[in-house]
Amino acid sequence: MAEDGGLSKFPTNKAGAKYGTGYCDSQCPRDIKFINGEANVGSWGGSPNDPNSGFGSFGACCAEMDIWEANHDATAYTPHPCKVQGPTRCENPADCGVGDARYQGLCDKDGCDFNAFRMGNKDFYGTGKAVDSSKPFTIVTQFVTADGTDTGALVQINRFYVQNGKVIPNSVTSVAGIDAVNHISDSFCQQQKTAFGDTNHFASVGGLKAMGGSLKNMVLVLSIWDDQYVDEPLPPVERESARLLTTAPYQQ
Amino acid sequence: MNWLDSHFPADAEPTKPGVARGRCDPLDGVPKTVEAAHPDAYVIYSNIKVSRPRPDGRAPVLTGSVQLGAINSTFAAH
Repeated sequence: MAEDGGLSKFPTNKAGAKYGTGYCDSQCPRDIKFINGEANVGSWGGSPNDPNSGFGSFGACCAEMDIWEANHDATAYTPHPCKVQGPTRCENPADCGVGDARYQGLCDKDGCDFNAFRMGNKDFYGTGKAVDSSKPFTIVTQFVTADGTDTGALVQINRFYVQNGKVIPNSVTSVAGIDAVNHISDSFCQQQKTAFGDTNHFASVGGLKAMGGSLKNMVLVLSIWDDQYVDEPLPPVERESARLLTTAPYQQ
Repeated sequence: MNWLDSHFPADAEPTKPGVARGRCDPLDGVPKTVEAAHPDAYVIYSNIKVSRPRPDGRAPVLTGSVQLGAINSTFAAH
């Protein structure tokens, strides 16, 4: 998102990041009420399980780097690149990746996730496990470029943990058809999508190189949340629009 | 959080590679359930740092700490 929430770019936005405008992510969320300084009222349909939410005809797209999505029992880190750079309003179901158009959208909604449990190590993260989630720990995420410079293409994302003064490397994958690695690269993503039968929209929108381009200008978002749209038993069309984020607005 | 800690997609066979993401029952993450069970849930993010990789492993601290939660509460930044 823009650092000022779009205040300087869109004259009709009089609020700015301080009041919560400008948020975007790779789900191209359509429950955002103001995008590009305009109300998202077209086709606003309301939400069946939240009187304060709903879906407009516009969505707020931008690349998303999930450094830490976790709870007591599971964790994943996930790049979600987009075809576009910077906050972009999607204005039709194809660009927004709605429903059956999920893999036509501007952004990679699935992402290329590294979840130790999903990648074959069920004893890596959790209470009393290699990384003990019942106690404080530090996470380290390294973004490696092809030539080692800040402007080089992003080619790899590493993960380490530190707990009780001990460095714990990320878990190594143990899945047929996937090389035994403990980091994210374009080849890891391709192998993972193939092994799991998933569509590789991550590659279609530009893969790690596109992710790296977006990482040059991002806002850190921290939140605590649950999955209203994903976990409640709803028709797929409602589930599609993914997560309700209780996001902390960017503070200047 | 079924995509993170349970079976996903919901209609897929759990033994199929990639479907199981964690140990949780698919119904555990229903917001009404988890919010009733853990109304005081919170998280603290602290010592947030960013740096080029350095041999000494040190990085400048850019931000202090942020505490988030419980549900529907405000957050504190330091």
